Amino acid sequence: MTLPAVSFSLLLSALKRAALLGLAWLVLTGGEFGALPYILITVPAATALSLLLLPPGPRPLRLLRLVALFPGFLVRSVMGGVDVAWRAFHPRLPVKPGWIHVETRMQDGPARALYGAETSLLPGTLSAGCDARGMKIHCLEVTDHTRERLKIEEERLARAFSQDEAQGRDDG
Amino acid sequence: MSVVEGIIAGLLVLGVFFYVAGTVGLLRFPDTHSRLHALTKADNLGLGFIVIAAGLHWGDGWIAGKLALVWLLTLFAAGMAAQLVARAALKAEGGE
Repeated sequence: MTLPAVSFSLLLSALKRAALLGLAWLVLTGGEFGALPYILITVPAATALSLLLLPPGPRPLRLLRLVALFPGFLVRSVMGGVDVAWRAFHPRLPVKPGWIHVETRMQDGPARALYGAETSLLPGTLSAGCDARGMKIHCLEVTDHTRERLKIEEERLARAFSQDEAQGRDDG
Repeated sequence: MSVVEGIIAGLLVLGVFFYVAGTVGLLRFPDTHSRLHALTKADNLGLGFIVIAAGLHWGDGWIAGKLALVWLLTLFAAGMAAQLVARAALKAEGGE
């Protein structure tokens, strides 16, 4: 029977989202005791809206894995900011912009969008959506390592989004 | 000036430095997409430092949490907005 399995995963998604939104409510109200009862209205309403606007996909998001990626991402995004600041202030302006195409194994829209957003905060890369040839990445300077670095990053994020293993696909 | 105040001042200076860097990049970089790099990456970092400074200044866990949430949402929005602007700029240039 498939019906119980589907509703169970839906319930799990609802619980996960409610927990996150509940946490957001607590933070927004500053833990105010008087605001606590309203959580019974706001969180179910926000969860329902969230499920309506972005129904859970077939591949679950592993929240803990995503959270575990955050410190590393933070360090690399700081490097991204320092890199761009260095280029901006350098008298000779060391910017040789170029485009590369990177094939992606992210099947789901949200996973792909988040990967693109992450890419845009990493040193030297900026995502401009995707086409038949994969993701279009703008680089401040195209180097041999750019592709490898993106691949490593994608691998990390793909695991958090339960995206299937790459099936022997290669970069275009 | 206490030690904490000194740290706060230092963080604010760092934050402003990265905002200025983003703006300098916006003005100096050669094309739309390179400019977008500067705005997205440097400004996020600048906001990060200012958020930490503000959190230290208030010295309250809940306020720090709220600031962290604001920064997280900004980070997310900046990453998404950068992609949308980049895609739109590419279309406008006749790329796709």
